Order: sequence, then structure tokens, then C-alpha cells
Amino acid sequence: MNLKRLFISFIILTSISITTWAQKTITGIVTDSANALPLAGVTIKANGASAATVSGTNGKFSLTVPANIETVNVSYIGYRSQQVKITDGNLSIALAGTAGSLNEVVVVAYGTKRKSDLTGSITSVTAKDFQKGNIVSSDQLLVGKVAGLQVTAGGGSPGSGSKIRIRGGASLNASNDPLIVIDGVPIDNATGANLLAGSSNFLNTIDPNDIESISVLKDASATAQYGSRASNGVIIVTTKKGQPGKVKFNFNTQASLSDVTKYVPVLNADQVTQIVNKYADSTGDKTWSSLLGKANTNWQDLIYQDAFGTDNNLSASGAFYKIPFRISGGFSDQQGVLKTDRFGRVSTSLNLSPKFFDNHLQVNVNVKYSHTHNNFANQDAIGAAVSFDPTQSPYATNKYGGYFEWLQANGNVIGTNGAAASPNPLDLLDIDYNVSNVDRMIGNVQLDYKFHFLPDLHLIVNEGYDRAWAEGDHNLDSTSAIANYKGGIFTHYKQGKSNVLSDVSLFYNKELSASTKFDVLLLHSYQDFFTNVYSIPNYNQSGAVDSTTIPTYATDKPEYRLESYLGRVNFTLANKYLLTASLRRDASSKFSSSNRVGYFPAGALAWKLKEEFFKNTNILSELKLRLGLGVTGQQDGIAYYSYLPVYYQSTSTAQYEFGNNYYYFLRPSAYDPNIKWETTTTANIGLDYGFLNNRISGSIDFYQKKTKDLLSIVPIAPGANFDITLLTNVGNMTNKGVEFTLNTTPVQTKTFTWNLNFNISYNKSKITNLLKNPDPSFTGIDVSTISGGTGNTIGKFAVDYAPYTFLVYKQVYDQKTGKPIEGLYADLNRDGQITDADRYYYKKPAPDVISGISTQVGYKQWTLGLAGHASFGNYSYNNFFSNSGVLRGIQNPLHYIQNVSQNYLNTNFSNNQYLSDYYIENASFFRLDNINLGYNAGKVLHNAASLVITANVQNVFIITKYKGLDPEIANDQGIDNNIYPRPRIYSIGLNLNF
Amino acid sequence: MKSKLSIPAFIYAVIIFCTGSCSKKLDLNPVNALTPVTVYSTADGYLSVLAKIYGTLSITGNQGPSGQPDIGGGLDEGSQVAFIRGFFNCEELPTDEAIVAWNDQTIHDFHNLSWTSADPFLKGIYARPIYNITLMNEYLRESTDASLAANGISGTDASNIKETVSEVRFLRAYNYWVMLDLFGKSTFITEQDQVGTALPKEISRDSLFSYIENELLAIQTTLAPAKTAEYG
Repeated sequence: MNLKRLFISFIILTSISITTWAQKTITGIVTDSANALPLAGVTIKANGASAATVSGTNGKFSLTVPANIETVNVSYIGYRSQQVKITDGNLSIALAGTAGSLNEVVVVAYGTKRKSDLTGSITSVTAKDFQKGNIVSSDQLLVGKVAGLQVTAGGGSPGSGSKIRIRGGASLNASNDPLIVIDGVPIDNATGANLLAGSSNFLNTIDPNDIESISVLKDASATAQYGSRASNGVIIVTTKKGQPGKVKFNFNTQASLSDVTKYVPVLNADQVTQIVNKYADSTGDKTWSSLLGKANTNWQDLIYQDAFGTDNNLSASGAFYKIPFRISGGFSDQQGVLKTDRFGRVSTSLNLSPKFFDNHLQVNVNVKYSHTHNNFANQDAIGAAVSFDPTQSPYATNKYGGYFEWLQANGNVIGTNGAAASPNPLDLLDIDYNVSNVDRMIGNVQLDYKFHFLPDLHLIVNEGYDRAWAEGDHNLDSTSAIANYKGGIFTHYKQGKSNVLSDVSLFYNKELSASTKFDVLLLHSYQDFFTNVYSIPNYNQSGAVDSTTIPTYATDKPEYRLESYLGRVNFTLANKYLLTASLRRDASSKFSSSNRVGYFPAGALAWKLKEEFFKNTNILSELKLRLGLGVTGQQDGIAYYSYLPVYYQSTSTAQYEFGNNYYYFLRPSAYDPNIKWETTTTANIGLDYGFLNNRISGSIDFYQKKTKDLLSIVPIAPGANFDITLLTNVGNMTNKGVEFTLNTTPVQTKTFTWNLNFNISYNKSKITNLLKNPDPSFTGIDVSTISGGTGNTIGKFAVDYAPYTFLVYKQVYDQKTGKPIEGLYADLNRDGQITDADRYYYKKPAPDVISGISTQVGYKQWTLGLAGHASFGNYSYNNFFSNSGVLRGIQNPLHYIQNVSQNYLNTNFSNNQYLSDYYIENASFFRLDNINLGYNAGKVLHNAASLVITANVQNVFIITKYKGLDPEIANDQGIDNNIYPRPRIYSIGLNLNF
Repeated sequence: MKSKLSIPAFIYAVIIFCTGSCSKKLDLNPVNALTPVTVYSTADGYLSVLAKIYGTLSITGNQGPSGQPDIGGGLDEGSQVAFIRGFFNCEELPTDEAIVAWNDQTIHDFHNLSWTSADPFLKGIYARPIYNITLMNEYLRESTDASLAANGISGTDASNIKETVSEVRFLRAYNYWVMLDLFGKSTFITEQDQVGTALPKEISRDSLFSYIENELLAIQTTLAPAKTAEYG
């Protein structure tokens, strides 16, 4: 017994002494070589042992390693890693940051990859590169930042949505929007009619301050992993996560002032008076000259205001009893430049990422909740303001809230169906209560379990839930000129949208050697989208229901489901040859069971030419050739049940009498039982380059996308089905293009840095087929309805032309004055008459080339940056000029006077000439999006915090030949008709880290 | 050790739960709409479809006063999709009995006797009678003896529906007569033609005349005597 105890204590003693003798402690400090500021969060790991630590906020670290260890590896995202020899005393390590670092981790479909290992066309934009300034809605962060990505704000209303197009969009009737994934949960990015009632933009519920990075996946080899929804590209948004270590706080606040810089040029009171009197004198008809007022009102001045806004965000990130967390709260309140417009948002996000079982189980919990309060201004006031008679004073004594209105002899407003035809814009803004509240929660729980018996194999489960609830009121009092005839119109609406995601996958990765590795992913995904629709009738001010608005069904629950399997392999050989191959099988409830399943394969090869041929040069730091080919689908933006024959019941106001009873109608809808998704095949060749340790880096990509089975509403012969148009798969389209990106830091010294990012891309889209049965007399599908007259269309889907190409008459001009001659067009087919056959295809709304540029200069603690974007080759139809630039616009047949655009003075048209090519204008532009100035005040408050102060101007100027208000049109049709002006915004902000 | 083993078990359970029960859930039906099986399983369903067929003579869609138009294709519901208005346009506007002063697209072509094949008003009045006939063919398909039996309709319900068959054939002949009067030849579809995307046949003027005549002669005896059927 004694011997045993002695033996055991001997073992213990020697173990202890072995461990104590064989250890040493290293201390040091890590700094940024560019500015000598300490770097926190840097990983210092013993080379050859498992000991590792992370540097603190002051850059200092302390690490105990076995005595035999000679070097440590120091690494930090965005900086070149170093291997440092251990010496006596403090180690002083300066890390050099790399512009576009190759070690940067990029979020890709279902995982992450290092930038140097990417095989597809993917661009990642991190928080430091986002657009700066007053950004209310997250889609605005990317304007001009990525080659091939076009983000166009819908208008100047705060929180309004943007049109996002990647490589031109590949659909006609289905959605052209890319798929948006937030923290692994694909969201229902419904727009247009499917938009949540009461929300102008689903993305404005996410606080941009919470976003870490956004990855834009452009080619099929990257997007095919999302299968049937990926044809228009994928945007992956990743929110900020908690960092282990001491709790760090960040407070960001911003105050901004917006104002309208340019009004729509219309006539003033003198000009209108002159024109009306001239008509009266020459014809003796005093109908309108007797209606002239004596005032000189600038209506646009009255509806716009200088708008204030504030945005605040407080976040804390650290570890709470070893659980890394990040929690943030944001408050944003933004007025619109249109009076009564206002957007408010309270948001909070929480991220927990604990690890259990010796890091075998990684748990990631993300919850984002926001409450947005929208006070919508009536945007019809904009159109009303540019067309209201400037000779009238805004106010009058009447029953319409004291606002001047055009009245008939009986005191009712002049209008065709009861509502005022030319309402006072102030009435529209003031006597309009349109408020909605939107609550949204996006959450997901991700479990990543490394098997104990096989640590290279992971089981990953991701359960996500996205729920939005909107409720609002739109009330027009009976004093409103547009609601008086009904005694007021009170509308209440509510709607809910939900999305449930369940992903289960197995992931295996193995390093066969230092330069050869592979990984395999098998995924099963199930997603269910449904909307709770409530239909509520309207009431008038005294509470009586408006029987014409009683819905047939009080509730509805449109729903669709998606079930998918994905297999993917990544293989790296000798760190030179990279291969990615994937196959996704999607089944969607939107199609019949015989058409439901689609297979979406993709493959990509990358060849690191630098490692192959130029391994030893220092000038070239990266040269990688990428080839990708893949098939993706598109099924977003079409009705949920279009393959089913269904009968719909009519409303209560559409019935037929048999005998003494009235009967509702049951009407069958047109349907195509064989409908399926669109399929796009994309080929992409790209070259990633980098020189001088990636001081100069970028990429060039060539791509070609061919879409077949385009979901199109095409005309079918009467008698074939229950309508003369049908949503069916017919049609082919091709998109071809080139993208070029350049990132460079031309100057980098201890005190001065200058970096520059430039991207430019060219895209050409062409429809190659539109019919199931060939028809030589088919001239295309009429699209792009314009305002004015009834049913006038200006655009076409036609074979061999870009979508929405304009079809117009060729205007003839007076040779001496250069003015267009009203109604005179070229007889292009020389048949002696001007008919529809003389219209020709002229220009298109989509740009040929888009480009973005950002540059930043830093001197000691100051930074100055500029960002802008441009678009070339896009043409717009100036519907405002065509509708309002005519004499008939001033003297309305219903006996009131309106205002017209100054374009009337150029054309002198007396009646509308909607279809003339005179109104198709070149809308190419360059816009300087922002100038930002920042000052790093360094340590404040007794070294407790570091402070950065910023000042921004957004929408600085625009260079364009377009004669309308703003050449940047957010609709695909290219029709400019009274947009909400985009204001110039001045803002100052503080960012405090403590 | 115990806790470590039960976690994998729990996770396996999660996989099985998620993958197993999800596959059959992709057959979804709209909540507020009816499939043909449901519609034609009751006599009231037949009456509602009949109401629609009669309604097509005057009402433009499924919502009053306007909305949910019967015919899309870019046609304006009020001015181009209505039967009576389209018929009026063709019969009256080219005469000196009526003038339209509005600027709606090509309406003035009627006055100037200069309409072309691209005229949207003509497209509407061509599509409308044919649309009506498509509905009627569907009703007739569901009203054959075999279909009634298959749908479970019998007794007085069945005989009532059989009486309405003659009325529907009359309305169909009337719509074809409108086509004959306005266009001469016409698209020709009967209850034998299925709904889909295929191009329907065309019928010549003479054959269409004979067809209408034969239809009217066939139902002469089966229609209820004048002034005995219920109103509507």
C-alpha cells in the first residue's frame, strides 16, 4: 500500500514538474502597421501546440505555451498573418492590413469560404465598404458597390423599397428580384401585389447597423445551390455576431436634414394667364379665362418640407459567462420631404453563440425584431401639385377643410365619378390619415454538432422563423375632396406573413494534406410560406359600411411550400486546382405533381495560375481563372395555384337574377395544367487578379445566361382557354455581359492612405422567342401602360429586342425651328398613311453599362470619401411631358384650369401625342451618391472610449442630359411619371466604442 | 458520458422528424376557391355557373361595378371587355347615330370607318362572344347525362339542369350569330374541344350559318314555351 501511494505521488509530482518545467509565458502587443493603433481580437496561437489566445482591447496578450514551442502564428481577418519567433521580453507584432485580403472569409451558399478559394462569381461587401450616411433601408447599402448589381431606390420616401437587379434580371413576368437570405433564412421578398399590406419595403425592417456583410452571388455555380429561386442571383445578408472577450459597447448616432433640390419645371401664374387669355381672345370663348385666379402659387413649394431624421443604435458584444453574445437596440425616426411622410423604426437584435461539449456543439441563436411605424403621405399630392392651377390661392372658404377646390354649381367637386378630378394637393396631404404598424421577427437557431467519434463530420440543423404582422388605417374624412362623395372613406387593413424553414445537413471536411482538402455537404431543406389575408370593407365617416367594398371572403391564406435536397462537393488539389460541384433537387407546391420536381446542377473549376506558374514572383499576388456552369430556376412572382382549375365566386355586387332570387357567379379561371418553372443556364468565365501583395486586386467576368420556359403572360387564341392571355411557359431570353472590378490602394504610408474601388459592367438582354405556335403576324406583347388616355401602351416584348423596348412613332421636326410638328410622323412603311404599322422599335429602359466608384483618402485621423454610380444607355419615356405638355392640359373639358409642364412651351402641342419618340429621352447619368468626412478623435473620456465623428452629404449632384426630374427610374418599364423626388441629405454622426 | 450520448440521439430524432413527414405536403389548394369537383357536385353550383353565363351579356367581370374582368390581355375592362358596349360600338358608332369624343385609343376609327386588325375594341368584341361560348361549352360538358351521374346529380335537380341545356345552346347560337354578323368567319369551339393552349379551328361563314341554324332547330322543341320560364 505504501509503495502504491509512493508510486502514485511520484507520478503526480513528476507530472506536475514536467508540466511546470515545460511551460513558458509569452506576452506582447499587436498593432496595425498602418497607423500603430492596437488591434483587438487578434488570434495568437502556438505553432505546434493547442494553446491560443486573443488580444484584448489594448492589443496586449499573454499566452502560456510548452517550453519547446519556438514560434507563434498571429492571424486576424483582413490582415496578413505572421509567424513570429518567440523571444525574451515583450513581443511587438505589427500586422499589415491587405486591401481585399485573400484570407478574408466570404459567406457563400450554405457555408463560408476564403476569398482565395472561391470558384464562383461572388462579391462580398463588408460594413466598412457600405454606402455611408443616412441609410434607412438595408438595400441602399450596396448602391454602386458591386459589378453587375444595380440598386435603384424607389423614390425619396424614407423606407421605400429599391429595385435590385443582378446581371439584368432573367425574367419577364416572374420576378426579376434576386433571392435574399438573412442569416441562412431565405426570406419572402415579395414586392408589388404580394407585398405585405402596410409595408413599403420588407427590407426596411432590418437595421443596417446590425449588418456585418453582404455577399452577392452572381453566377449559377454559386447560386444553383439555392435551386429553383436563384436565376436572378442571391444576396446573403449576415448580421453581426458576438465576439468572445470583454464586453465592448458601440453607440452610433446620426442626425440628418433632407431637402428637395429640384422641382419639376411647370408654368407660373403669368404664363398660364397669358395662354388662357390668348385662347379667349382668339376664339371668343371665355369659359376658361373667366376661371383664372389672381394668385401666383408655387404648389410644389407648399407640399415639400425640409425633413429631419435621426438614427441611433447601441450594441454590446462580448461574452456572458462564456456565451458570446451581441445585443443591439436601434431607434430610427425619419421624416420625408413630402409633408406628413414619416418612417419610424425600433429594432433590436440578439445573437448568442455558445459552444458546448468541448466545442463539439456550436449553437448560434439569432433573433431580430423590429417595429416600424409608417405614416404614409399621399403621394398623389405630387402629381396634383405639378398640375394644379398656379393662379389660384391654396385656401378658400368651403366645406373641404378650407382648401380651394374646383367646384360645380351645386358645391360638389368637379370630377367624373364623384372624386375630385383635380384635387388640391394640400387637401390630399392634410385630410389623409394613413398609418400602419409593422411588427417583424426573424429568428433562427443553428446547431452545428461535430461528432465525437468523427470530428470531421458535422450535423447542422437550422430552424428559422420569419413572421411579420402589419395593421393599419387609411382614413379620409368627408371633407376630403376625393372622399366627400362617399361621406368619407375609412379603411382598416391587416395582414400577416410567415415563413418557416427547416434545414438539416451533414457536412464532412477533410484535409488530406496541407494543400489538398475536400468537403461534402448533404442538405435537406423544407420551407413553408403563408400569408394571413384579411379583407375588411370600407366605412364612411358616420360609420356606415360601403356595400360596394364588402369582400366575398373575409379571410384567405395563400400558401406555398418548397422541399429540397442538395448535394455539394468542394475539392482543392495541391492548392492549385479547385472544384465545386453541386446538385439541387427542388419540389414546389406551385406546380402540379407531374411538373413539381426540378434538378439544378452546377459545377465550377478554378485554377490558381499564380500557384501554378508564378509561385515565386512577388509582383503578382493572385491570378485565378474560374470557369462555372450551372442551371437555376425561377418560380417567384407567379401565382401560388396557377396550375389548378379553380372557380372563383363573384362579389355581392355582381349577381344575376333567376325568378325572385339573385345568384352569385362562379367563374373558372384560365389555367395551364403544365406550368413549371423557368430554367436559366449560366456560363461564367472569370479571372481574379492581384498585384503587389493585393495592393491592386480585382476581377473580370464574362457571362452568358440563357433562359427557357420563360413564365410569361402571353396571348393565346380566344376559345383555347378561359381568357385571351395565359401565364404559361413560353419564351426564351439571353443575357450576355462583362464585369470588371478594381480595388487598389495607390498610396499607403504611415500617415496617409488612399484607396479606390471601381467597378463597371456591361449587360445585354434579348428576348429570343415568345410563342408556342409560330405566327408570322405576331408583333410582340404590349407592355408598359402609360398614364393618359385609356390603355395606351408604349413598350413591347418582342423577339430579338430587349424587354420593354419602346415602340413609337418617328417624330418629324420643323427644319427651321427644330420644334416637333404636332401629329406629324414619318411614314416608315411608305404606304401613304400613318398607322400602327409605322411605329418602330426605339431604345430600351435597361442600361447598357452600369458602374460604381468609391474612393477614400485618410490622413492621420481624418478620412474623406466619395462614392458614386453611373448608368449609360438607358432611355426613359417622359410620361410627365407627354401627358401634361399640351394645351388641352391647361383647359380641361370639364371646366377647370390646370398647369402643364414647361415642355409645352417647347412643343406647343394642343393635344396629347403619347406615342411620339420625342418623349423617349436618354436617361444616362452619373450621380455622386455621397461625400463623407470622418475624424477619428481617438481616446476620449479619460481613455474609456474611442470616438469617430462623421459628416455626410448624400445625393450630392447628378450629371445627365435627361430633361425630366430624375433619370433614375425604379420601374422596369422605364416610364417616368411624377416620382417622389430624391432629396439631398446632410447628416452628422458620432460613433463611440467603449 | 450519459449526457453526451443522449444529445446525438436527440439530433437523430430531429433529422427523422424533419425529413420524414414533409414529402407529401406539396399538394395545396387555395382556401377561397372551388375546384370543378366541388362546384358541380350541387345543383346550386350549376345555377351559379348558369348565372355567370347569362351575366356575360351585360357584366364585365366578377366584381361590381368593375374589377376582376373576364378578359385580360391589356384590354380596358369598361370600354373593351363588355359585350353590350362592344356590340354597340360596332353597330352604332360607324353610323351617324352616335359619336364618342374621348381620346380612348382608336375609338375614333369607328367614326372614320378606318379600323384596322390591331384595334383593341375589335379585339375585345371578338374575344367576348368566344369567351362566353367557352363558358357555355364547359357547362354543357358537365350537363351531359354521364357527367350528371358522375357528379351525383339526379332527380328534379338533374331534369332542371337538362332544361337549362337548351337555353345555353340558344345563348351559344346567339353568340355565334353575333360573330357571324360582325366578322363572317369565326373561331369555332364546341363542348368537344378541351381547355388548354392549342389553337382552335376556324369556321367559314357558310358553315357557321348552317351550324347556328341546326342548333336552333334542334332546341326548338326542348325549350320551354314562351313566357313560361322563370325570369332571367
